Amino acid sequence: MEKESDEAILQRVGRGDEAAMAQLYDRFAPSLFAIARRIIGDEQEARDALQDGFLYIWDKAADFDPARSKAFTWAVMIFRHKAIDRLRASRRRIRLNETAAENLLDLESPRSERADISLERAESAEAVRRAMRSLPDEQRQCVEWAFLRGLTHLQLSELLGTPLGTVKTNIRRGLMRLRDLLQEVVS
Amino acid sequence: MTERQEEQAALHAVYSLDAHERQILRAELRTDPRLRVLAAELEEAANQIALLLPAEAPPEEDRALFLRRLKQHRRAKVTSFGTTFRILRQPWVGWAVAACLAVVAWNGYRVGHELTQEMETLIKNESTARSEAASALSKVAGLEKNLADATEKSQQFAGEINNLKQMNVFAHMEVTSLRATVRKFEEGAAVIVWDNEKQEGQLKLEKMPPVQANRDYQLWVFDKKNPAPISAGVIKVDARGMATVTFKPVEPVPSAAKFAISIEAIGGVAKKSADGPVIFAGPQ
Repeated sequence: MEKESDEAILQRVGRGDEAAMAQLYDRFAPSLFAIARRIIGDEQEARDALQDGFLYIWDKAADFDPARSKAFTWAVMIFRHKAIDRLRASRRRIRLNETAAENLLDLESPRSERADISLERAESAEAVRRAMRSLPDEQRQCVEWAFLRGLTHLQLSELLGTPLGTVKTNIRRGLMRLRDLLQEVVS
Repeated sequence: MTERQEEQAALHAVYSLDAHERQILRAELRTDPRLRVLAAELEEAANQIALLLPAEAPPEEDRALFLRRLKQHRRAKVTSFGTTFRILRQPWVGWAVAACLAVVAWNGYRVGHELTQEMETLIKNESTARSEAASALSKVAGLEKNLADATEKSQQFAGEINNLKQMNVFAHMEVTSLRATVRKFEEGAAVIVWDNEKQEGQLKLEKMPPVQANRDYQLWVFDKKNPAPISAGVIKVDARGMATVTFKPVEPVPSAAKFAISIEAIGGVAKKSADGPVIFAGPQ
């Protein structure tokens, strides 16, 4: 029997199906919790953010449009925004003691097969890994830190010791390159 | 699309814009479909980075906690409607609504009744006021008529008073015609109007012959109780022998009995001289 897609489950959630919501939680929670922890840097707050984020998904699921995005990326967007808003509201200082040279993503290690993610998502992850590896280091670094630390371009400029304009350019070029590469894979 | 817009769309995709920049970009997204497509594509690409993160399962109890919270969340949402409907379906709600409507209706009736009464009172007052005003107007008209009558009568009285005054004036006056006592002056005429109250008079002379250059006509008044004549002044006649003069005796004449004209030294004399001939005298 073919596994139900993330999008189909999310649409059932949009129709008020609690069982579908539990199913979605099982599928997305590990990845979304990882994102929340990375951004907020605190486990308990990340757990709270996870609860709030899933309740928000329950409320907004009816607005999801599968023609515009994947269910997973839609959920990621929601969780990232929630986590970054929490981070900024807590006025916690960014962890500038972290070394900017540190790679936040391990792009070299072989992909571990995970039973909880769909094959489609696994294939997408591989495509993203390849695309990220192909980016120039400075672009990849800016994109990774902006995405996984929830930093503004100003904070990023301060952290990396790079002019603000350069940070913006790196993010723009890096993301556009990433988009082009991922669209090539899809086509 | 500008490079700046691409940049803002990319920063938006990783949620790196501050609140103000985000607001500006959202305004641009509403009006620029191409920018909207680009922003959506970049956001979709960025969010796929999450696929690269190693999974971290949250604590097991969080799942159960979430499902409990979800039920509570649903119930809270439903309750807001359900409670309302349940309350509306209670039998006492109908009675309460009916009671409220009855109170509102009674209040409406009471207010309407009070207003009607007030209106009737106002109409009555207005009618009374109108009738009082009409009565006052009628009185004013009567008073005006009385005033007009009184004014007319007053004018009549004033006329009568004037007449009486006139009569009174004439009552104090005596008109005396003097007769020539010398033949030479028989053609002449002398008339005196004497006002005893004012102690003055008017003399009119006609056809009087001229006197010598060093002589003047002089008028005298005789009092009943005083034989000595009192001077009333010098009289100058014109070339035709005419003169009209107002005179006043130099002393009071309580009861003028006689008038006389004599020819005296020029400028007149204070006391009647013996050599000055009397040419006119009267009444006889």
